[in-house]
Amino acid sequence: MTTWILEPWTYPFMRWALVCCLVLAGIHAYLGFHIVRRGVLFVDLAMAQMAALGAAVGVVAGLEHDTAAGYAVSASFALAASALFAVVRSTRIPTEAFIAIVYAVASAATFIVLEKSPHGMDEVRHLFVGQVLTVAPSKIGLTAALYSLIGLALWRLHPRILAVTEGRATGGRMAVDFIFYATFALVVTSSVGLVGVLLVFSLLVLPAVGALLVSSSDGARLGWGWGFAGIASLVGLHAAFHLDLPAAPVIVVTLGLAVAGATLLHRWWCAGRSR
Amino acid sequence: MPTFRRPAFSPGSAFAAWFAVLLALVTSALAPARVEADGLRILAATNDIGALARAVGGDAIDVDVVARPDRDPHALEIRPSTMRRATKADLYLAAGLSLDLWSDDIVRGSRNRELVVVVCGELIDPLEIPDGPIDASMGDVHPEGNPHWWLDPIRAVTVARSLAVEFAAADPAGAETYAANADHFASEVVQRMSAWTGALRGRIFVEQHASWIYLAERFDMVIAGKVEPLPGIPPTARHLAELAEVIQDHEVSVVIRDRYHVESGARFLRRKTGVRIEVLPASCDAPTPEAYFSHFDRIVEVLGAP
Repeated sequence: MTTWILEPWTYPFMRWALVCCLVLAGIHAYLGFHIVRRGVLFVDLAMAQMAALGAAVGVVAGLEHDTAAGYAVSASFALAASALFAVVRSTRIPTEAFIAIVYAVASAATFIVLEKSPHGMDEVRHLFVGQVLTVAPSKIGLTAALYSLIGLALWRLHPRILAVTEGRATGGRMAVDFIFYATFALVVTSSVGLVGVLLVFSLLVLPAVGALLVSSSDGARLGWGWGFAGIASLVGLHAAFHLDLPAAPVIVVTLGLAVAGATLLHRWWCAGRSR
Repeated sequence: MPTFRRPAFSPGSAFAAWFAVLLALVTSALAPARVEADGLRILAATNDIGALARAVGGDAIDVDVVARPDRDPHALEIRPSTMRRATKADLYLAAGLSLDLWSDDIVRGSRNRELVVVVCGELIDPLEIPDGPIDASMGDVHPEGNPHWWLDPIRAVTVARSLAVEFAAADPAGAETYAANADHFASEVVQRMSAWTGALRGRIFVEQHASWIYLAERFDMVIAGKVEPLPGIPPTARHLAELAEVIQDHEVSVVIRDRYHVESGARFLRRKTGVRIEVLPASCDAPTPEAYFSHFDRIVEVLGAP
């Protein structure tokens, strides 16, 4: 039993995968909270697709793999999308519609750019969609540094971002929105490169929804979000190791089960207390 | 009903806990895991390379393979068992020539500093190295040449001999055995060459994907056309119509495709011309020399003279 529990964690790749998930969880739980409250769930998919388009343009333009130039092209496409989301806001059309448009057009453009180059498609996938089991420690370090800076900025701006999210902002909404989406774009671009779209999307949405369901204060929600993400990463990686399955899907399913389970327990507990 | 107290939950303490776990993990993750083994532990990118490794290493070594032969090696989901093996392996045998981009990830992600990486594609003279600059209009062209070298048994012998040298460097005590095993593999190939050549020489076929040039060149076969106009690009109607004409003009009797290829293009050709469609994988079924040879038996069965 002890071996069964400890064996996965004797491998460095498992420990780095967990470190990577926790680094991501730290900032995604916070951003996810705003994304869910704003009802713009698929904004990260749109951003990721824009970043992939940027990566595709980089590959076709002959930029070297994995260089700062490649990353800059990719990130600037995602930043363009964030500017768009900050500027375009209509009372008649829900933001989700703009997100859907960006997603569709960016996907189509990626196909056109790579039309004659499925090998390019492989390269973009390889550059842009990481796998959590093989993530390089140096990249985790860089990402952790970047996310600490972004986290600091978000912490300072939290009251203003929250005001916009809750729809009670007065002046400077566009600037705050742009900063929010820009940090979001940088985070999503880096995270997808580390662990892939599916896991990033799930780390954004599931812990935030779980936290909103079981808790009512802002600070506690962040704690719950980290708790869900951390426990699901730990259990999911452990299960993936013993079942020998690709890690990301297993973590996502575990996250879903954790949130569903916590919600049920919370309902049952509240019902018990009110009786 | 017992009364529960809501746990006191401050974000500060949650952050402290999260950070402490992170710190502990990073500290422990910096120490690499090493496991002592008796025989050489080999991790090979594909079954064919695994087969050559087994032929050279014999029963004394441990061979595992990353890519399953029924999946497209271009897109691979890395599983934990692969990473486990990479952590403990002595040698990683990559295919190279851009076939297995994921091999780099596995090697890097294993954090195994003593892992020796051998890129088999660099041990042979590749075919179809594109002249001049490569651009997107050429399709899925591998800039270093066509990566399916193991379909030429003579090149496979070259790789086997190089592997014997690499194995000897990692395990000097076994040097003689490895060299003798490589010689034995070479003689087994030579023994079969005349039968294979007799069956395959001059045969003509259509392939789905640009996989078979090494076989065709070695045995003087003719590849009349490819279902994919450019590597990895699905066929257009016009391309298929032209290919159907080629098939009729040259009396081609068979179109071969891999298990994971889409069959619709080949089916169109069958409707038009009555040509046979055969599933002929580019890789053997298991990482053993027996499987490598029976793969060639199957090739002879499908493509050889009736």
